[in-house]
Amino acid sequence: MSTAAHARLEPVAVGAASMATAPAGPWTLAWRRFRRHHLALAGIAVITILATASILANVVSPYHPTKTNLLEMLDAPTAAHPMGTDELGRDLMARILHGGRVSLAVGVLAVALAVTIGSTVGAIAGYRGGWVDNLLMRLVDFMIALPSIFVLILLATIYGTSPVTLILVIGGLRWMGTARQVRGAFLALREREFIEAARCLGASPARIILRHLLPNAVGPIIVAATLGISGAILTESSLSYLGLGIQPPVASWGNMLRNAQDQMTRAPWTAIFPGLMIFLTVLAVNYVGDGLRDALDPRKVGTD
Amino acid sequence: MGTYIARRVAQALPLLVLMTMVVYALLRATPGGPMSMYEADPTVTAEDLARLRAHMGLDQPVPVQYARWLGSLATGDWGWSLVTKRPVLEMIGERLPNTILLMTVTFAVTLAIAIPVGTISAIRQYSWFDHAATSLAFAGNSLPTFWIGLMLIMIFAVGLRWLPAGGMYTLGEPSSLGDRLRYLILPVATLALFDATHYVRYLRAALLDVIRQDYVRVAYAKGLDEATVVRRHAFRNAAIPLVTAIALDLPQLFSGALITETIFAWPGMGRLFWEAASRVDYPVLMGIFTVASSLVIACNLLADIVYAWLDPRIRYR
Repeated sequence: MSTAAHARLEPVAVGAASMATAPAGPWTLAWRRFRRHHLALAGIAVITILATASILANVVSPYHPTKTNLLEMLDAPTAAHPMGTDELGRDLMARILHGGRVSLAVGVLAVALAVTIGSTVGAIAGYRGGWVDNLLMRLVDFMIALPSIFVLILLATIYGTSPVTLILVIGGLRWMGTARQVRGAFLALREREFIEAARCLGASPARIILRHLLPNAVGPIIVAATLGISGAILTESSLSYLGLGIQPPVASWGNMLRNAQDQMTRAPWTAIFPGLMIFLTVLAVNYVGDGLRDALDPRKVGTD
Repeated sequence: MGTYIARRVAQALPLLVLMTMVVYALLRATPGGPMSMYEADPTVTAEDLARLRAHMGLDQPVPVQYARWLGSLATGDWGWSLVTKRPVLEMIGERLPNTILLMTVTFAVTLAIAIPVGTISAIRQYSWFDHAATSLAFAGNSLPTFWIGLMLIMIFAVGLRWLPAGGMYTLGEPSSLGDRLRYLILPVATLALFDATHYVRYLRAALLDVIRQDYVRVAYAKGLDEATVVRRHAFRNAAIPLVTAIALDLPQLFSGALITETIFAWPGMGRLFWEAASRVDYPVLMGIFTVASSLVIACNLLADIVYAWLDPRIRYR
């Protein structure tokens, strides 16, 4: 009798241990699937190069991003200025690299904020259910129904345009998708046996959410976060282009394009390069997101 | 179905009121505001300021001001612009048709591109056409719209001088359809290229889902040719999610128009909103926001109703 009970309990204990020691755990399998997505790998390479070059902007480019040089106004790309200069003789490549810092940082941090809010709201709604779930999901519906670009412009006008407020505003308006996804995953998971087992063992709600539910919902969160970064970068550049984002003389890809409008007839490179950088970055991030979805989306696991 | 629609409409109105309430509160938190131009004037005394404040109702608590604003909105008085001193409703009335024109033409062009491309892409999955279409759609999805706009201006307006760079018609020339069309091409192309990539991906996925269903195989087995099967059986069912996506996206079209109108100096609502935002013109901002929110809510409502109507499996709970 006691051995039978022991045998029945054993798979739980062994299951937990074998997750760590098995030759192909879920992350290894995900990596194997991800590795096959060549464009996603290329995307990672592009992002790494861009991010490194931006962080090391002072090393990569000898020019200062806001230093004007009236002798070299609107110079076409040359060996000295690989991307040319703008109307104040500032080196375009230096500005693009420094602008990349701003654009990438705003994109990544806005998404970090959005994912934090979204996961918290989704986790609470999905775990608690009932009226809490109802209330939070009505909030999500409300936020989704807001015409976001209008709200963004309003908030940027009201609260100013420092990078920090931009991160708060963009992040604060982009968390609803994650919230819905996490809630959905939690609703499906919370009735499963392993959660019941954790509850029987006396685990606190916080422990169940953080140790048992969240790790099982992390795949879709990572995918949403990655694709969210490209959206946030596009939003920041649109706002800066409209003159409501990062303010000159600090360079961002969006405000460089706004600036380029006046002289793009004489100096097309001032308009081409910043836009190309946005496109390249967003495309790379989207390919990585695509690869991650193929690798992590649980619905795809069965078909693989 | 009647009660379903009635209930959804009844839910939509409070949502609209709530949205305007939140934005009203946000706007009133703004520094500056309608009194700042008088405050800066040294000839205006403190008593004058107080009188003006009372006259404009600004001495009342914000909730009271909001209730007044909402009340007059319902009776058709949308307030007056602080900058141009003209009625807000009149200003919106001038601009709205231009935005609707831009949106409708864009929408038609988007579908005219997306439906054939998405369909061929799905029924010829993994052909060279499919590969080209999906790659282009993926790349197009990563392009910033305003940059496409700038590049199109640079190539077609400045470089080749084929098309005007901005505006809506040639000043001082008799209005003609051809002239209007010339001004529409670039903004519509900017928006439609971007939107079409979205629907191509969507329609392709929806059709691929449907094509593998048994009833499509049955239709082929009956001896129907491919064109009929696709048109009569597959496309109709794939259209259900597509129509919903389109209805949900219509407000997005409106948002996209905001940036595009700014690039091409198109005198629409989006541009008016941007102008009002840079001058902190509350009544105009509130007015446009109300129109935009109503549009979003109406489109969501439309999506639900169309979905329920197209798909008999949906129950009207």
